[in-house]
Amino acid sequence: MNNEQWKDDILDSMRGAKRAEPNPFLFTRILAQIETSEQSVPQSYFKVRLAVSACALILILNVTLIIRQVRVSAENSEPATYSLNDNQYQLY
Amino acid sequence: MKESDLIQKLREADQEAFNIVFEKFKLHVFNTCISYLQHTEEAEEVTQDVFVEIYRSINHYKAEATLSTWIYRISVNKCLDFLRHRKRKKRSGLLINLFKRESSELQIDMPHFNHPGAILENKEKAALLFKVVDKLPDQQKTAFILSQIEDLPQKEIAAVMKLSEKAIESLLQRAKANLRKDLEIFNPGRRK
Repeated sequence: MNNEQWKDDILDSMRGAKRAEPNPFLFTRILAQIETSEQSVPQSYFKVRLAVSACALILILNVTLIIRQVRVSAENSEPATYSLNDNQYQLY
Repeated sequence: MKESDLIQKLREADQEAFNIVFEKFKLHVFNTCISYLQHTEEAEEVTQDVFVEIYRSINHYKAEATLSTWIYRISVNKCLDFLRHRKRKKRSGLLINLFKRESSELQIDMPHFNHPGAILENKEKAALLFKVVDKLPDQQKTAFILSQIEDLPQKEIAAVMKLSEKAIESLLQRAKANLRKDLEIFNPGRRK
């Protein structure tokens, strides 16, 4: 057999091959996996909700603190007002 | 049942429709997976993932491709993902072994694969074929497996791979040329 013929035989060696059969319980396993993943969905939703709530809480706390901080600094930086009498403007 | 009715029922999560799809496509999916992964248990694992994906994402299925094309596409993508994951694992295993052991004995190659469906007289030749197919780049491997092992027409392979028929023809030519080149070292006539 020449070299090229031998290679052709190798390349065609799967022609006419039977189809391999998977495990007969495969469908049951697939249904079980779908069921398990569907049950675990609420848990993942719960985690997402928990994370969103935590972020919202942190954000609210931050905003509240910033507002308070701004108010306090605004109160402190108001120009001091002095009531001066006309007499007090007199120069000696 | 018409394909459109089957898809509609699948969208309604009808278990009987899902069973029909499984029975209709299980051999296509499993045999595609076995050709890529060359490992029966892993092929079953990926086949399982493919059908779970079909069940979950049937709402994303667009009628521009046939159901068969869509399922083949999912199968090919899952197999390629699995191969990439296996390669990463192999690489990290190699690194760990390099640091752990002093000896240079590192045997992490896949064992010799015998396709369960190969004809008895062709078993050895088929094993050699799978050995060299495993070395092909992803696209050439996909074109070769779908054409020569799954026996799909070029038009459907083009649809699965989202390429033109001409591109598939070129990929097949390159795949065969590479396989011939790789087979050279195994040729019994050459060893004499």
